[in-house]
Amino acid sequence: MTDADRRPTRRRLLASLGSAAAVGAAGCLGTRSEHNPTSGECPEYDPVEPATTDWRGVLGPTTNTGAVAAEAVPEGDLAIDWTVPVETYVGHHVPVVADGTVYVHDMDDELSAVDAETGERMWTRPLTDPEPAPAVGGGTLVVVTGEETHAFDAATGDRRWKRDDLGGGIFGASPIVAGDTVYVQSGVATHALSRSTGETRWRTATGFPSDSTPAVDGDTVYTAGDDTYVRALAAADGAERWRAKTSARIACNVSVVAGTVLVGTGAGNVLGFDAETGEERWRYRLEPRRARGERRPRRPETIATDGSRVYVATDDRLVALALADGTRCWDNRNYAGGYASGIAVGAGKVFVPTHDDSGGAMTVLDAATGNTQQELAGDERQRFDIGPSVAGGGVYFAGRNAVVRLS
Amino acid sequence: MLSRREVLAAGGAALAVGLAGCGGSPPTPDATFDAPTTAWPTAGYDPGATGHAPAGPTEGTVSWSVSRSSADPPLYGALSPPVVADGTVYVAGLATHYYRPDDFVSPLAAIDAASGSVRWVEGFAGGLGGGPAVVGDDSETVVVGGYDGALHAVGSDGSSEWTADLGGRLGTPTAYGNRLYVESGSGRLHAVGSGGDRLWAADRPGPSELLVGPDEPVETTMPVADDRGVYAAFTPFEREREAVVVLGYDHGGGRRWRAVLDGRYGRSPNGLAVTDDALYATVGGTVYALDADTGEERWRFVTGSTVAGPPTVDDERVYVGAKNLYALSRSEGVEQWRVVNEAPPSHHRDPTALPYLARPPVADGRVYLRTGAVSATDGTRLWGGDADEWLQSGNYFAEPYYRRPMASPVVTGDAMYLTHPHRGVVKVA
Repeated sequence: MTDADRRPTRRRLLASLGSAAAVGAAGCLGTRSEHNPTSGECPEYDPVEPATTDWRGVLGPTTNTGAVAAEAVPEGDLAIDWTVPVETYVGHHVPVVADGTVYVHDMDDELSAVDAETGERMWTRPLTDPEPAPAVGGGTLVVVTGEETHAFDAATGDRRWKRDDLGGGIFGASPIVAGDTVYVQSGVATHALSRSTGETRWRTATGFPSDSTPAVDGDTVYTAGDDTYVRALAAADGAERWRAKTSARIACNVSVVAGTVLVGTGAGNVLGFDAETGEERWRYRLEPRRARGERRPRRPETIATDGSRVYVATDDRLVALALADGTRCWDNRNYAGGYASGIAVGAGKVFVPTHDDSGGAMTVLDAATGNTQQELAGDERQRFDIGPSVAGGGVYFAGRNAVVRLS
Repeated sequence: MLSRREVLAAGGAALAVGLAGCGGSPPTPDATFDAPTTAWPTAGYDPGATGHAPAGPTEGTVSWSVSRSSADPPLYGALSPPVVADGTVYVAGLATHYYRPDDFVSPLAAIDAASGSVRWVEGFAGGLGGGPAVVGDDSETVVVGGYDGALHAVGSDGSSEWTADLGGRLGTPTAYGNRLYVESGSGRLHAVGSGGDRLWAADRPGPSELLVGPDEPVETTMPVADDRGVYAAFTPFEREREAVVVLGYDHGGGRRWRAVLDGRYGRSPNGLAVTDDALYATVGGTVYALDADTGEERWRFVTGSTVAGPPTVDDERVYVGAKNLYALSRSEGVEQWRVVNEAPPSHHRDPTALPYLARPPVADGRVYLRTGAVSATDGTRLWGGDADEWLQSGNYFAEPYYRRPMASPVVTGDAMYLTHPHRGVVKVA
């Protein structure tokens, strides 16, 4: 038997371990089952090259793909360029980066802008209880706090407007700035606000809160939440274009690429929908967790995609699926999931926070194979718990009272 | 250890099952429900608790209200949804966490439906565990279940008719022909004749129950009945599991089937309704349709809420208050419409609105919600409102009303009656 024969077989065997118990008496080793009806053959890695070189929201572009253009991705092994102390008792969120500036907050009482090249602080301003990651677009920085939504001039930090009726949470959805509109999940509704004034353009209520960051692609907003549905709303007026029912609450972000809308549900399913029609194309059931004889769903917390693979993070692993049909391609079981850990992908590389012997590390994976290309351990001064974001040739993480840039 | 009473009760059930086994079909009580337009005799309207009445009001404003303090003794406790029969509205004040059964006297009030004058209020020491049911050919008897396990029957003049000591904390009874079905807080289903005679009792199944003893409290819901038998639901012992057991019995107490519903978000059995083709159940915030003959699951609809009220059913749809008010297709459980509820996600955020959790009565193309009605076809508001402004009076704590309904309406042909924690008992006509 040649290696070429053996490799896919072994991969298929490994891939089948999760679903083997579910298949049970069926007795085959493939991943084909009621939940994962694919052949187990991972299609060729053929990513879509994105245009974006900034990281404007919690998962980069307004489509929440976590993917950036190859030119934004540093080449070779990464080393620390600078660290900027951001003292906090509370924590950090994912840094956002636009037009050579990095925006961070301390989840407590301060918001800062840092020069991406030098690490010098450009401005800081007091802000009570900033919670999810900010979003930036059109020169406006939007930050959701525990009770309010704020907009600042991204260059100067001057306040543009404030909404004292739209608050969020640490584990909640991040805002999205798309064109001249700001999208905020707050209370029991999705709010579309004027970027320049903060006035409500439209509001659609499901009656339930949403921790799922919406995705905006062209003239459509894709939302999900505790309501269990995935919805496509017209960006102009919030009118519902389609909705698709799932079987559980959705806390994971929505992501959209190449005509496919991706979500992950609290039941442990990852689903791909046709962006035009809402028709379900495939679903993949994450391997359940076994504890005290019970099976508990492994919950998707972050979804990213490069147009060829779908990267799904849970609290303890990263799973790469084929965008075309949901086949599992590889996984990484060192993924260090936390309240603000993410995924960034570009130039065929995947950047993630991982566990290592000393605690935490920054790891670069080969997108096609899942093989580790680099692993950089954190230390007493710097950890890599929060992030990453990738923009303008730099990779950014936060953790242990500092924000770091690598390239 | 099993108490003597339980052994006797179990023996009675076994005997009943035995007889049924020998004689073919079990005894079926005579139960013609004549679908009154002037009464809402039990919590679910009919034995199947469909909440589907032939007629209801087309408009209305507050006609009268009876405040909690205006009655003597006062109408304290968690007010049950009203039942209406023979020109009288009956409401019970239930013992709860806030009205502790060890020192709370539960009121049962009879109010004149036309004038709103209180005819009488009877007090039940030790507290009531469920709402009233009216039984008898002439609506002459009101039955309520005590926290102490006593099923009390009261005449329409308030006099005591009989008491059956069943044991356990009793919930709301269902009337089926000339008998009553009531479930105890230990998960035991009792069949009682309209004269108070005990017909049979069926213990909930399972090995852990035999070991730990059947008097351990579990969460239950009102049983429902049709000509095939009676259906009950309870949360089993393994409290960390999100599961509810639903049991189908014949009218002799023999078990026909058992189904385990392990839906997401909440594990309380929140209500049953049975029709010719299906048994509908809410468990936590999930709505199920089961085959009423086999218990086999037909569909489920996860609302995303952790709490919900009992379902109601008309020819087309299933209606359930689960934060929003939902209308689902009977055949597939597909959402047809919803009335979005604007209450904030949690009661910690000073809500000025509260979730929809009451059983939504349906009559003649209208679904009744708070102080009015929405269209059964598309959910548009026809008249009335949410009465959230009624919250602004009284000692307002939102927390209990994120678990139990704020306003529980029932209807007759020309009026709507509801109980409300701050307004007491209200007639809208």
